[in-house]
Amino acid sequence: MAVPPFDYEATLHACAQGDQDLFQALYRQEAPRMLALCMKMLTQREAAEDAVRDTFVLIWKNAGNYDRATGTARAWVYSILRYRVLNQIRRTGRPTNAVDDTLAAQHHTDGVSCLAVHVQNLAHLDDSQRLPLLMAFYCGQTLEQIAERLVMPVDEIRARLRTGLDAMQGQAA
Amino acid sequence: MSIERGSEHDFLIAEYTLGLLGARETARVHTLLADDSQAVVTALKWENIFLELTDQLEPVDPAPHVLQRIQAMLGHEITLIKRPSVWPKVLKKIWSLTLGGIWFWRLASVVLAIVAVTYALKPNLAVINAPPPTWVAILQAPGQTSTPGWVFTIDEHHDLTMEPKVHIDVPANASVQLWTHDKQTPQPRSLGVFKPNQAARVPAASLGTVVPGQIFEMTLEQAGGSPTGKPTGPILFIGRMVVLHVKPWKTGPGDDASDKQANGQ
Repeated sequence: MAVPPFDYEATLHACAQGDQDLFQALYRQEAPRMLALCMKMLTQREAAEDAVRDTFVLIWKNAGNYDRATGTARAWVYSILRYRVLNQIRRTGRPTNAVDDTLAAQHHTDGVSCLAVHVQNLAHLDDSQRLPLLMAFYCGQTLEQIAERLVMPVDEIRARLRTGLDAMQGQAA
Repeated sequence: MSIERGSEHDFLIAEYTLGLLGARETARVHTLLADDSQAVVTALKWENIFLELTDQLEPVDPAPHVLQRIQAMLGHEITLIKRPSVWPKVLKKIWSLTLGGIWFWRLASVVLAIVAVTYALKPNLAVINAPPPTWVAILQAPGQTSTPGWVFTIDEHHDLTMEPKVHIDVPANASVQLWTHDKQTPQPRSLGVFKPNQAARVPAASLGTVVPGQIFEMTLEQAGGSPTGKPTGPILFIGRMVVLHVKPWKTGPGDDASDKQANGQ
């Protein structure tokens, strides 16, 4: 018998009603993926676990504000997580990770350490579109930081990003 | 009206969602999000598209105490951590000393005695001199909601007295550390490392301000205490501070006989 997909919308609704069991179910379903993303962006496990913890506290407190007409519940959860992580990166900077840098060198990702093991992602994009997108998503870098890293004008980076975003959207449609 | 795919607003919101923008353009998107409900829909659309990138990462299981910390911060029931290296010993000991043995009944007697004293004896004494509120916290092991592990009380000098009610075995390479936090300061503050089976006292100066509902918890840490200044190990015992207001009995004719209860908060 096939396992039914996790119902994020119903789970958030239950959280809004005070259902601690389903809140735990959401945690068990999603926390490992959330932690993986936070560790990639923040590079430190302790800071990443703190971000996941704080996000789940916010999920519980704000579940009643989620409106399924605005989008998927899973996207709503990640919007909270990524907003917090990005703010933290802006506040404190992003620590570098020597191990990641070594891997990056091996994969020829121009020293962009957070992309070390993700060169295969977004295979439908070419490198010039993929790299800025991955630098933004996994490393939390701004347009200006990416432009500086890739030694290109901001407008050029933005044009490439938008081409990549359009392709991602087309792929998802 | 929805935001058209590929429009300037569509891309700008995508860039905002990715965290790419500087202060000026971020402010512009914040205005959009506040004024146009479709901007929120567009932001979540992009967030949903970006999930593809999250799902390409290898999931990483959080440390067991992360869920406990969340539950403690929200006032939820704390989940018992199933850690074979630590909990079987601890629980086996608690079990054998409570439901499994005479100590359970002795402990039940102690609890009943406390109830009796709270509801009967103290109000009688209060006729002469109404006592100040009693601050007490019963700490329990996660999943052991019927078993008091420690009883904390705050005396008239604002010192915290800690009385163990169960015996636990702690590995030689570990320590038990006490923490406290409340809604205003959710980040746990260490109150020190304690011997697990001995009564102890935290002086008022170290204890700091205590408010009703404040959480006290003991975690299992490496020898000497957490190396990070924050709890890193499983919660052994946790409980909230409550205030018991004890009112005097009315004894004379015509006195109101209704206000003779001890009210917990």
